[in-house]
Amino acid sequence: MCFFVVSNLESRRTDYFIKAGIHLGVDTRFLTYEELLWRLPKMQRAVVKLEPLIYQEVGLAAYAELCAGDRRMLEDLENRQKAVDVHFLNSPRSIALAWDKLRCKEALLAAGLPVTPLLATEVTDFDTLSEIVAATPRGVFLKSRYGSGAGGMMAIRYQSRRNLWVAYTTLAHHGTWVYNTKKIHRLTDKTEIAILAKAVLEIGALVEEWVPKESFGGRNYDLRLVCRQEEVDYAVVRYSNGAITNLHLNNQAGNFEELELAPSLQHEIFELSVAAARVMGLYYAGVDVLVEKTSSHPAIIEVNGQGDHIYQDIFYENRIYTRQIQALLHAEKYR
Amino acid sequence: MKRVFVLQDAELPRFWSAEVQGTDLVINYGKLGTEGEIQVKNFTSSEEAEKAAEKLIAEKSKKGYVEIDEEIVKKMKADAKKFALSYDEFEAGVNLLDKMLEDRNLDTYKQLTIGCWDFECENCSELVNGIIAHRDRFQQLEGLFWGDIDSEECEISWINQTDLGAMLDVLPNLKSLKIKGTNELSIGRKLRPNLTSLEIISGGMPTEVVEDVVKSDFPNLEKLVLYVGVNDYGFDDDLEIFRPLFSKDKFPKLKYLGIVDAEGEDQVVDMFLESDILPQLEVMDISQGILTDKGARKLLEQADKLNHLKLIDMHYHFISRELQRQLQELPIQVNLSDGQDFDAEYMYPYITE
Repeated sequence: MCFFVVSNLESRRTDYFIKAGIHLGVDTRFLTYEELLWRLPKMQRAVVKLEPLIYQEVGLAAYAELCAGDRRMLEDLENRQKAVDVHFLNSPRSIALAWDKLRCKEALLAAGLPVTPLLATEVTDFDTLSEIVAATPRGVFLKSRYGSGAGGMMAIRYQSRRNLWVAYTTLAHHGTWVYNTKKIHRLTDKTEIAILAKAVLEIGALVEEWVPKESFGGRNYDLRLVCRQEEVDYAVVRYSNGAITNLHLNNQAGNFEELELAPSLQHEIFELSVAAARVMGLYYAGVDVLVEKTSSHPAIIEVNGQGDHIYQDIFYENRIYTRQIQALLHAEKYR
Repeated sequence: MKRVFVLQDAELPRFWSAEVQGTDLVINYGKLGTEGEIQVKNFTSSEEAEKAAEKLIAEKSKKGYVEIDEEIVKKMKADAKKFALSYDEFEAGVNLLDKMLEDRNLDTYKQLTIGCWDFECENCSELVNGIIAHRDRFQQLEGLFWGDIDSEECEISWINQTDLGAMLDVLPNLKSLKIKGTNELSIGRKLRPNLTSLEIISGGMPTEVVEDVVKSDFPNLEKLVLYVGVNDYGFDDDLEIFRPLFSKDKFPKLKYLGIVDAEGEDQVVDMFLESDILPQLEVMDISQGILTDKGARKLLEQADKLNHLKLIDMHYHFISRELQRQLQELPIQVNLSDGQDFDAEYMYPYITE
């Protein structure tokens, strides 16, 4: 049995997966996507793990183009012939389904799982978005439909009483060029907010209700749960001083245990994550869950088919990748 | 022996206890004011259970939990309560005052925290009037956090307060008052002899609110913390409005003074050093603002004025590593955590709205 981890560039994700493989005495190698496409028909007795492609592009529209290319490549991979003893850790189809936030949300809703409320999917202009924001006291999250991370995301709120706007986003613009600064900014000028929001709407977006997250120690948090279809392997708390929690934006990671959630709530969150992985057809998933402030109701924010990379873990124990390989070695279909 | 610890987190005060019973370790934890959850961990021997308990206790202590007598914790449980509306309750038309009045223990709480009363940024006058009308149920109140609403629920600069003066008049035992949000806020201008602690959190402190503090009479105030914020959100950009607060005649019992979250935090340092109140203070709080090397140098140059202090809180600052090192050599405790990179163009106080 050989394990292949695939991306366009070697990175911590691929390095630590290979380290885990070496630690377990398993033949584990890096491949580029080009190499994979070429070698896949000839491969035997192998498990292939597809990692995200790494881009330096910060332009919102250009990045969306790259993501569209990635989706076409996943489709191509899904349709390629391969030997019966060659398996994807997560199939290209299931990864693509998770990338599409709309289809992902629809699948979770159809399965009866609690998700952050979807308000609109067909919005193409800022005036319509403004009406939705004005009608939603808690505010909205405007998210690009495809891809992961906080790149094309805006948290927007409006107070009609004093005609006040506020948005939190990593986006900024030079003239008409909208780009990702990878730092969260707070905007209060409606004109500025509109320029950025229009750019997100142009690449295809969905609008969700802004559900206030629970806080601990004065910081908001949500959870990233790395799980298989049977159980949660790792849970990390993502703290933020603002609305957007993303560990790549210098937000802090924390230990799940320190939250000391009630066992019943913890159980509910874990069950929810595992159920989400199953619904999405992901063997391994990174499930983002928030706990609503005051009511303590959990809700799924997103599911990520390539969301098992937690710095906190690789630097201490590399437990996620190690367990992942162990689980695959023991799984019936991979033997 | 059962060992009990509490974490006095402002948002979520909680308790945690550990007791070895035979070969079991019984952990009880949760929010203060609740019975909490119980977990039982089994070990092969009582020694192992004791060892595990010690390890957990060390971890808790590291996180700021403080050991406390069990009887005191039981009392604390009955004393503190937070009331807030969830969004579902708000949408269902639940009124926060009704929710409070339904609580049969309301007249036993000594510490109340009032969270979100509305998700459409309405002001809180209805709630204030309700409390005044039911004043008999709040006579025991010693501590009040009014507006424990974070930016996830409402922008701090959007929280609409009201004149709280009349409500404070009917809470004769109130010792500690903390308020978040300063739109339309007034606390009145009166003698309040029982108040020992006052903290007002704002993204931009209006002059009128500072004047309320200046023109009130708090003869027993021991702690005063005011967030300055920025001029876009209500502060009128003149730090001199705070200068009358640096007076020993004004606050004869003040031990803790914080003028925090200011763009001109270096200027606040001058106010401390030039004041006649500094010698009586135990804590100088100049945290969360744009405190730079300029302010740090002034502290070092006049270090002889600081020797009596127990703490200078400077967390969230823009001081260089070299001057941080020099400050740490002062013979007093300094908090220099959460240092930010100096950037002449992009530096903001911690709360900037």
